[in-house]
Amino acid sequence: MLRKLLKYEFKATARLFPPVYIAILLVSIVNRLVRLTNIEIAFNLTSIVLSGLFVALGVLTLIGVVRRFKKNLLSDEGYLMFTLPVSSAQLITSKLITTIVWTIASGIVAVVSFIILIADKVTILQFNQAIAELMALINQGLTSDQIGMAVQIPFIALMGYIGFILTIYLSLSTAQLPKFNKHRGAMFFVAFFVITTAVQWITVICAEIFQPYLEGKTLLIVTIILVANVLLDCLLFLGTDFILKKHINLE
Amino acid sequence: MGEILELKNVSKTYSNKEALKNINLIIPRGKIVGLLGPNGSGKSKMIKLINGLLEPTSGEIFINGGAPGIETKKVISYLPERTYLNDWMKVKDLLAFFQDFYGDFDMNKALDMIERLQIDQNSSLKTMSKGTKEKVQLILVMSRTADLYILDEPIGGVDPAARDYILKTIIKNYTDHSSILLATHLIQEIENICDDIIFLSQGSIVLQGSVDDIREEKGKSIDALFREVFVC
Repeated sequence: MLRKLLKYEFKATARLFPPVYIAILLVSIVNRLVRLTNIEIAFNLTSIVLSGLFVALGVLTLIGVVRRFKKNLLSDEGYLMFTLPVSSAQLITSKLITTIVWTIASGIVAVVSFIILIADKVTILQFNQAIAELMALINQGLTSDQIGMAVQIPFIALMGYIGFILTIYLSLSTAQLPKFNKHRGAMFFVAFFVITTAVQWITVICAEIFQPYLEGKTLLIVTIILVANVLLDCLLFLGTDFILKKHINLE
Repeated sequence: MGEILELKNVSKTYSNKEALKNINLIIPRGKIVGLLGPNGSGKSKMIKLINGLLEPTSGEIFINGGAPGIETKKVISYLPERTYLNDWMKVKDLLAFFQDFYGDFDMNKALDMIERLQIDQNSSLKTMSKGTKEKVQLILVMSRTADLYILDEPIGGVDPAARDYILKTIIKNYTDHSSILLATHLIQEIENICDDIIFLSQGSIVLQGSVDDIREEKGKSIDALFREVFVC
């Protein structure tokens, strides 16, 4: 069932992102071409349009996260989604995975756009050089600590991003509870603020307590950060799932 | 095979207000049951509870002997009073959606009704009138071979001609294995198709029984009785 939910979630969001991707790539190509012609105004203009498109992509992703969850699950469409023979955990997961995939796609588009903009003989040479230096470094023999950290850090970034999305989901779910009926919009921001502040406080307190035991153990610290992020994500997911399962409040 | 639906001492309280008070109810198989009551009597709340869209404050709900959950959602075909259709799909996408998620969805039946009600499969839901959307929703719901159909105000927003067709469709779908729970305040229209009725007032069941028995006992139509019970 999760596969079917994903299919429709991608269909629903497919109207949003690809047009912006195409626009970004096209403007990148135009920008590169006008640079060859030395028409400065055209170059400046396309640069501004391109920055605008990247900002739009960021905003679109954020609005997409909020809107898909709110409209598809917490408004009238919720009557359809919550009476499908699927679990609320599957509904949350389908939305989460879709957002992550689109974000990764956005990242790839950004890299491709960057290559279109700057790739020439010099930059390609510089890039090759950087790769060669990196390879040399690896060949010298990295310590197991360094490898361990290099492997974990991307996962920390991913878990952090998932945590951010789930915080939005939990805040939206909290704001739709019957007692906040008249202030759903405001309650969303309050809930988001309370959750993020609480997480920050807990992080600071834990850091204070465990600091003396962790002096100099960088790998262990990185691992603890990863595990803590995974735990936090689980809590946020379970909280959202609990509210949707037990306290969904469709108007 | 046991009862299709049973509610045992079900109550639902909303911030100090009792929306449903100690509801006891059994719906056997093979019945069309009218759930009647004025606005705010708790009809929609009760329906949401049966569909698992709300949790009861106390009491128990059994559908085919099980509590509301994924298994019961497979056997209930629910028409909410709201239009739940999104605006990015076309009618044919929606048919595919139902076929994907409900194992009991009968595509041929749906296509047949779409044709009868002259709805264009390729038209986008965004451009449809409210009445057409309601028809589409009803077609989707009635094209399933479910055990329990729960229809919340199914004829409220459609024209009288379509109304007749819809009521006929509802009756046609009913077998001795399945039951239909029909919530409405258009009593006159449905009085003749219901086997049983339930009168709901301020969260309590005030009258319950077979239409024929009640008519005989009270000597008046259900519609007249309703006007009497809920006189304003």
